[in-house]
Amino acid sequence: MNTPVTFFQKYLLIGMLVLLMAAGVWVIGQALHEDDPDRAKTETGRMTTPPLKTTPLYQEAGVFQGRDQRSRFVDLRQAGTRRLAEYYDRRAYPGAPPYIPHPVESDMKTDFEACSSCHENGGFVPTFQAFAPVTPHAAYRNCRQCHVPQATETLLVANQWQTTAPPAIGRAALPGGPPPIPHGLHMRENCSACHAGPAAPVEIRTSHPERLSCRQCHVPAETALDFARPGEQP
Amino acid sequence: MVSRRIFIKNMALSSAVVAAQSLLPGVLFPSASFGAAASGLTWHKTPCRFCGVGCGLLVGIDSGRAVAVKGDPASAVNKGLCCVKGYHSVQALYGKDRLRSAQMRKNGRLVDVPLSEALDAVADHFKKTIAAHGKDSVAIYGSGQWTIPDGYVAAKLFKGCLGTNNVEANARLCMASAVTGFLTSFGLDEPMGCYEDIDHADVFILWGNNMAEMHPVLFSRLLERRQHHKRTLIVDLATRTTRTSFAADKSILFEPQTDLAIANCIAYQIIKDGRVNRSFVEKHVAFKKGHTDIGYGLEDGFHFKDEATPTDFAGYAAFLEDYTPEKVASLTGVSAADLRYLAALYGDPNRKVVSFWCMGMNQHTRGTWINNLVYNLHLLVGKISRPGNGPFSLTGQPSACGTVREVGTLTHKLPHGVVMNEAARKKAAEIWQVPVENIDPKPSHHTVSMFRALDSGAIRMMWIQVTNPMVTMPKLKRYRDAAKKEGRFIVVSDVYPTPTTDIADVVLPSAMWIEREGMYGNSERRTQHFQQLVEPPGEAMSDTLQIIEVARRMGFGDKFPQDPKTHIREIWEEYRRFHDGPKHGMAPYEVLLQRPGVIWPFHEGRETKWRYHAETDPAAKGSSFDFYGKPDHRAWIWARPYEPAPEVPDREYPFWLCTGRVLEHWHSGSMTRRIPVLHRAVPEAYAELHPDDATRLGVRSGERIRLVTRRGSLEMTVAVDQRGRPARGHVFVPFFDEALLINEVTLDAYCPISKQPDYKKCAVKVERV
Ligand code: SF4
Repeated sequence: MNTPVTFFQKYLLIGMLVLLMAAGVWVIGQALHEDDPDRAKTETGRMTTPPLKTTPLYQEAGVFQGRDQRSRFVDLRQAGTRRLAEYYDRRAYPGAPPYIPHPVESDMKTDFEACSSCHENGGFVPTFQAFAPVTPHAAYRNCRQCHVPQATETLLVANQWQTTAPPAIGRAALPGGPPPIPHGLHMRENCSACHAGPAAPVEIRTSHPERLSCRQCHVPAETALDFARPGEQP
Repeated sequence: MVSRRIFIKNMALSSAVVAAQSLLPGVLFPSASFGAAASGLTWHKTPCRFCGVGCGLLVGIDSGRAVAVKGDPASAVNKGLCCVKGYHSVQALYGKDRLRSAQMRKNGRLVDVPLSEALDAVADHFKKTIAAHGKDSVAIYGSGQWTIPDGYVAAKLFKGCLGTNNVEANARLCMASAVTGFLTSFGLDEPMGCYEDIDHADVFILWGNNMAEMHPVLFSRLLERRQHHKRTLIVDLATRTTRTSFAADKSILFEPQTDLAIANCIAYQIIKDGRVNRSFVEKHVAFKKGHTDIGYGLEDGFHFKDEATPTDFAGYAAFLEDYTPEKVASLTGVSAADLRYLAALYGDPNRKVVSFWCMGMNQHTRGTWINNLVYNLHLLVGKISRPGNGPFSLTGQPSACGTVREVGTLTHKLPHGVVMNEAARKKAAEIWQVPVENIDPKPSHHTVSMFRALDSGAIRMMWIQVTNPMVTMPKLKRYRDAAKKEGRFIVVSDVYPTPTTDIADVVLPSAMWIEREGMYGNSERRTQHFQQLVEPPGEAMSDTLQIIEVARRMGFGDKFPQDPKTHIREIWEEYRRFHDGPKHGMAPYEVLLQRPGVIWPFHEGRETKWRYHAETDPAAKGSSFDFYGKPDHRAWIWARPYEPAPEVPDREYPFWLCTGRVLEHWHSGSMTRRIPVLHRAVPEAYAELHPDDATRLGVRSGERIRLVTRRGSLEMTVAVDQRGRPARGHVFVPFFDEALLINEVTLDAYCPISKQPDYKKCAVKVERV
């Protein structure tokens, strides 16, 4: 670093700064865009019974938690190829713990470390030629309590189970508006686990992972009913 | 370049974080738990169908079907977390071969019949059998998966109306030693503490308890405690290396049956180290000894009765002289240093200690003794009945406590007290509105004896509900042959075809779990109510209603509520009268409806989380401990020796055989094997070997071996270092697989006090196929 700075190097530096400013403008511009307007359809779901009111605080616990997103910013921008259909395929119903689709190293050592090397922060895993999905609830350490590998594809007896359709995506109230959160947040408070980064299913990957306060704009849709004054119909 | 880009973006991000954080205090987030997207989806609370942890679930119902599950964040048990069985539990309702119609055996084959015809036949056969062979020729064999109302009406019909004490439940096979352990040490059943102990303890000692697989959500609570409380230690004392051993801070392996010696050695060392809590022991403890060399119940007609002889601290200490760490080390395989370490943990006045155990100590031919011996440790150091300090006997089934132990669906029990006690009989007769003479003062058969009586012909007719004994009885062949004998009549209520329905004369289709209303009671004395959330398939009917229907056909209709809408509430309010008072008060029906479970004793609107201490238990007198279960208001320390297992490996059968469960499957697998993700995870049973034994036998994982015992033989595949690693010279086999019935080869020896069989120890030969 003792070498005197040449004119050529100075120009290079200035050029780089210009590029950086441009990049900054691009980032902010991206952030101003909302979701794909095609997806921003309004929809009015209906609920027959108002949902149970349960302790609300747990849902807030992980809002600003999770990975150190700043240092992984580049990764969050990286595009993967995972699709939503595959995401739901691994789950018995929307919100069910997914099974483990790959062989596991040990059936006995099931502590968090066995899984966390790939699933705590994500990243590309050469063995499986895939980006590892990130857990939205890294605080739970006993992974194999809920996530089990599959030793066979066959069934003992067929099951006539049916589940509900996964929540529709998009559904912003206004074109270009922020879509509401269509799913429960318990154990899924860390939005970027599933909505940012290369392992996020492309259909639900956010265009603006640098915005950290997701729930400043995206709010849970708790009821499909409109406001009504006491004693009046909406 | 890249690094500079990151730098600038990070600047933008940091300001976003600051902005977000400054926003946070003022932001009022709505308490959403689900989106409006799922139209018609509603969520309802219920305890989990499977294990004794008793997690609170929220089941999503849409268009009359159960479609999703999540953990109930309002439940103090699991705080919103489940295990894989709980999350997929509702799929157990929808297996393709659900029993939708009643069946009766005609010309050797089971054929569909209308339910009313089957119920007529059951009632008829009961009447005929009693007329021909007497009241004690009929029996009911139920389950720790019975709801509380199921067990209650069963006990009332059989003990109160028919007058036979032939009422047993599969909890005899899983919790009987826990019950006799509690009764002999404290005079009252069930743990003094509750799960909240986990949030206060420093040390967890697991006695033969693979908690990571068998009580997964509780084990997660242990791990969470350790994460937030750095001094937490988890010690796994076991005969097999499991997930729990790997997750523990220390894993100690011991030779089967020698836990008796280990516990006595720890007591010896606590005294040696001067760690006895003298004032506690002087004020609150009495010393007893019982009979020794008590047998194993292997002979038909075996009989044993224990007697307590008083002794004192000096006598007890002298008894322990045989259990020095050096002597015990050679017997148990545990180093003297580790034995001293355990004693130091129990004895350290600055550490709160919880001991956990389940089948390892209960399925044990000295099950009552080993329960006593672990209580001894907590009593010697006074670490009991206080938050974070206590022995905690875990239960296996969702309502082994609620239905079998509290309602008393065991031969000697009544909902309150025992049949031998006149006052208890009077109370039962009064609440049941039956003549007191109806209630037989003599207990009849415990489970193994009941199946032996089926063999001998003393019992002719048996009604089996919510359990699968043709998979789960030890030394299975004998009892299957017994049930198939000429002149025996077996009625089975179940939800799927099983090896037990295969031998039935009548099969009644049951409404399971959330297809009817009911209550379960879990390990921590928590009663949990669930509503009917979906319609049962076909003609399926709840076990409660089946019993009421048969009772009505036998002329006891007036003894049972008949309104299907209100019958559960009526049963609960009647049952509750048995437990009135501060020692066992149960919550009213309305309270159960509102809360995700209520811990009893529920007295004057409050739960009793820690019993036997005046600060937390309204029934305790004085200002500190009061072990009011015993007439002397003391807890009893028992001098119980080490005695060997009945069948130990020898030259001909050189291996130990241990059986058990896996995380994915519930008991005999009739439900969990119909759940796709669970079946696919563990599709069939296997035999675990130690890698050295596998090498010596020349077999590898996936290859076949034959297990031979004195009872029979069974071929299966080997699993080396997969789910668990047995010690050298041991074999472990899970019992969920009806195609690989390991109980064909197990031994039906039992604890002479609790009559609970030992599924964990017998001698086996391993041959390469
Ligand atoms: S731990 Fe037991 S009660 Fe809890 S979800 Fe699992 S099986 Fe159900």
